[in-house]
Amino acid sequence: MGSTKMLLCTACGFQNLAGAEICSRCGGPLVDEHQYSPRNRLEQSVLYDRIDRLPLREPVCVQPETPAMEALRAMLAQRTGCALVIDQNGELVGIFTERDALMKVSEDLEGRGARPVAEFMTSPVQCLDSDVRLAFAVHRMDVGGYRHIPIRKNGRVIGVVSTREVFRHFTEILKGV
Amino acid sequence: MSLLENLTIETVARLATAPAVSVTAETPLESVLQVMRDYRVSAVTLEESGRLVGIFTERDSLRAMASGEDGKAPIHRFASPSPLVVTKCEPISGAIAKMSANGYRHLPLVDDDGRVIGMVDVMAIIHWLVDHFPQAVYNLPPTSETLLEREGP
Repeated sequence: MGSTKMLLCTACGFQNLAGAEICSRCGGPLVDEHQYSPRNRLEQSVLYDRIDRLPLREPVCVQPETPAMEALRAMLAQRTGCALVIDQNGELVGIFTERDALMKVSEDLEGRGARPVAEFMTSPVQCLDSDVRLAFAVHRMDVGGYRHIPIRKNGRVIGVVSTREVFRHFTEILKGV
Repeated sequence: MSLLENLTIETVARLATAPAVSVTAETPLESVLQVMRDYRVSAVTLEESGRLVGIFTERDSLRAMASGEDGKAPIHRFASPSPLVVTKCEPISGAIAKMSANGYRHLPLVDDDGRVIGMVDVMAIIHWLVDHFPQAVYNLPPTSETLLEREGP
């Protein structure tokens, strides 16, 4: 028993049975001459894969009052380029990145390194829901200049996706074609 | 052309590369950090007599800051020697593979004589990718519901 050929609706992503003329979920046309069908695995992935298909990284979490130097050490220990700043209510209030460390802390390491990370973090944070498509996340990275984006599911941060995971995903597909 | 073809045919020359900022291997750490802040760059190359000898990135700066070492210490103590490089005629897929295999976010761009002529930053590649996504991407809603698996007869 094999899967029959499915027809993806470009409007809603629903897989319809081959031969259908309209999408059985959203009612959109499937035989439109403008309908785009992905030409290879890479385009397919970019168009339809969800961001949580990538291996998300376990985030490094610190409190707003954590000294900047301590946050920086935690990032080094976990080999990650950012720390999420979470307040006592569990709210994500900021993100502290390598860039923040270089641009805002490095000038006066002894003084600023001991001050709360909240003074140097980037806030508010651009988060994305775990069901956004890969292309949408990469687009956000480009527009905002973000190399790390926290991913949320049901309002809770479940991990961080970075340019590294995106590139690794692309490289794996390129190897396979 | 598809995104896949573009990735393997178009070369690094098509990327918006940044000019390289370079320092000597003996430059003190604190001066290099100052240069990076002033030029707002996330990596500098280390050069000796026009030859590339190392790279110092934001990631290295984190390590340098945590080390507690004196700001007068020479930068080569914190830099990575003999970095991986790219040339203008390499395909963009090649640059992605080089970054991906090693977790790098910067690759110095060199000419045929090995001279540094620029810096390829991961964000330049992200920008190129977004520019080359199939147009259909922009007709999609951002989220998708889980696709159903259907078994055929």
